[in-house]
Parts: sequence; C-alpha cells; structure tokens
Amino acid sequence: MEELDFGLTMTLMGMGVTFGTLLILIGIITLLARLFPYKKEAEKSKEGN
Amino acid sequence: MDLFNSALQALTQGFAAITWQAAVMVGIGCVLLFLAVVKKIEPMLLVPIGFGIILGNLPLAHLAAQDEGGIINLIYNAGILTEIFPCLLFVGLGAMIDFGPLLANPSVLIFGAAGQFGIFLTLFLALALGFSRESAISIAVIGACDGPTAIYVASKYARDLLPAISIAAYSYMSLVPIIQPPIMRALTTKKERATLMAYGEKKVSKTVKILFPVICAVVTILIAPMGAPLMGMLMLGNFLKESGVVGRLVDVSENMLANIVTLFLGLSIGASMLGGNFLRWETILIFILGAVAISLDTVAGVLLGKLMRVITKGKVNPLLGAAGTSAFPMSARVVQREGQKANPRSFLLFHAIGANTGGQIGSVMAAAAMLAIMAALG
Repeated sequence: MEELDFGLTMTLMGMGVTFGTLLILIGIITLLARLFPYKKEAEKSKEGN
Repeated sequence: MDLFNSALQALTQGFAAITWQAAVMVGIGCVLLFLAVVKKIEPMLLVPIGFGIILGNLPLAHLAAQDEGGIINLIYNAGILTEIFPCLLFVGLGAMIDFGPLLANPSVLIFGAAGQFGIFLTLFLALALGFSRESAISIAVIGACDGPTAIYVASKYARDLLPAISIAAYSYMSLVPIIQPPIMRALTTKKERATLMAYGEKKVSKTVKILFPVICAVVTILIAPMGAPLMGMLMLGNFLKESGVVGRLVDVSENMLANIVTLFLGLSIGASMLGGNFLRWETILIFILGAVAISLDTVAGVLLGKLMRVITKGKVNPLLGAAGTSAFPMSARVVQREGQKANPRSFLLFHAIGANTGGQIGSVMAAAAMLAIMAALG
C-alpha cells in the first residue's frame, strides 16, 4: 500500500510537473515569437555580418 | 622441472581463473562488437561497451570498473560515479540540437510530455515486481529513451543496476524503429495516419533562438533544481551553438567532447558488466520493463495525438505523438516514414523533429521531477 502511494504520488507529481513546465515553455515561446518576429531582411543582414 | 611447472602455472593462471559467467560475458562482448562492426548498429557506443565487457571480465587483468586502482576504475569513478559523463554528453547534445522546428511550432512540445508517460507506468510495474523505490525509479527512466539521463539517475540511486540500465536504455533507443511502428499502426486508422499537416518551414528569428536556451534553463531549473546539471548543460550546449560567436567551442562540444565522453562512458560501463552482477534474473526484468516503458511512451503519445486531431478538427496527424520520446532523431524519422507509407504526399519530418526535441526537454523534466520528489521524500 505504501509503495502504491509512492507510485501514485510520483506519477501525479511527475507528470504534472512535466506537463506544467512544458505548457509554460509553450507560452514563453509563443510570447518570444510575438516579441521578436522573424524579419527576412533583418535576419539576412545578421547572417551577412 | 619445478621451475618449469611454476612458469607454466604462472602462464596458465588466467585460463584457470576464468569462470563460466566471465566466459559468457566475453561472448556477449564479442556479440556487441559483431553487431557494431558487421551490422553497423550503434557502433560509436557498442564498440567501447563491447570491448569494455571483454576487458572487464578477463580474470586477473584488473580492468573491471570495480577493480580499485585499475585504469578503468579510475575512469569509472571520475566520470560515472560523479555523474560528470552524462552531463558532459548533454553539452555535446545541446550543441547538436536545432530547436528551430520546436520554436516554429511550440504546440508540439506537449507531445514531449506525453512521451514520458511510460516512465511513470513502468515505475508502478517495477514497484509491483518488488524492486526498491530507488531501483524502480532508475529502471523507469529507461522510458525516457535517453541514455545520459538514465545513467544520471541510475548512478544516483541504483549503481548496482547501472550496467543493465544503461545497456537497456541505449539498446532501446536504437530499437525505436522496430518497437514504435507496430504500436503506431495498431492505435491509428489508415485515414488518421494519412492526415496531411501544413508544411512550410516557419522561420524563427535569431533572437528567439538565442533567448530560448537561456530562458528554458532558468525556468526549468527554478521548477526542478534537481535536474539542473542535465538541463543546464543541454541548454549551455545549445546556447553555444545559437549564439554564433563561439564556433570553436561548438565544434569541440559536438565532436571532440561528445566523442571522448562516449568512448570513456562506453568503456567504463562495459567494464562494469561483470558476469556475477549482470547474469541474473533482475537484468532480464530490467530489459522487459525498459521495453514496456518505451512502448507505453509511444501509446500515450499516439493517444494524445488522436485527441489533438479531434480538438484541431483533423489538423494534427496522431503519429506525431510517437515522436515525443527523446530518441532523437530516430522517433522523428519513424513518424515521417509511417506517415508517408499511409500517404505519400505527407511530410511530417519538420513537425516530428519539433516534437522529438520537445521529448528531449520532457525527459529531463520528468527525471528532474522524480529526483526532486525522491529528495523530498528523503
């Protein structure tokens, strides 16, 4: 029973943390993409440098 | 005559000391070398592991990882027991990974979480089979499909199982093209597999690519500090690459560093696989549980893919879910191949690579969460 509790805690917390963190990262990436959109000319000049 | 006998005895003591377990292990080492050299299966890893097994099991050679003061023991203590090798490998891995497809389509990151589900279900199975909590966690992490992460966790909690766990983790990574397709086909209809996804490499600005590894490291390490060595090194490697100003360090990280660490890691893991501690029932169980873990990862990923297909009204191909493991880039290639089998016009590779790199982050997060919970439970 104790091992079952341990397994359940680990699963719920582990999957929760993993899903939660990745959802936060999705939000951050989306925000970054809006703040710094891809601009063809700007990227080209950066690559040129 | 006595002198002759003594000399003869000295020269044959190696043969006299060999046990049947050591002989079997030498045979296993030879099989791995055969697979690497003739069949070209993971040669970078199987050659040092196979040779390490042979060296480690030869009696009186003092070359086993456990032989105090021996050369391989020094490498093992310095690189494996200190957890330095898996971390250094992650620098190289980070320098090789392009997070571009993930940054262009961040929603696929969610598959990186589903791809870790097998870890936790396998944990239950391992506990039910009587493994200790520490051993069960270490075995379950094979499901991360991520050799360095599995070694990192096992070296913390189950050093006696480390050889079996690391071999299982790397073996199953290379067996992904065999394990995943039947599961993908069984869980999806041909119509679902044939789903076309919008193709077109969405471009991501250089600023986003540079900022991502820094922000990802900060956020994930704040959430689960126990995974800091792995995530920190992975993102360091990626930052080196994306910053564009340290080409020499990138070159060193993805080539020399990764190759040297792989050589020493393989050699010392191989030399730790001694007949007495490897040829036992537990090893077979570990291999079975590892296969179960990776299969369950695929099941969870594909099922989430099906759900996403329903939610997006048919815009997501459920096969993408199978790429949520961190077997990079094998899983992504499998998804691409299976998608094209169902629909020759389908081109899923770009999306699948995104999900696959998401799986890399997801696997480290899952391991970090487990380590944090273990530490909290004392």
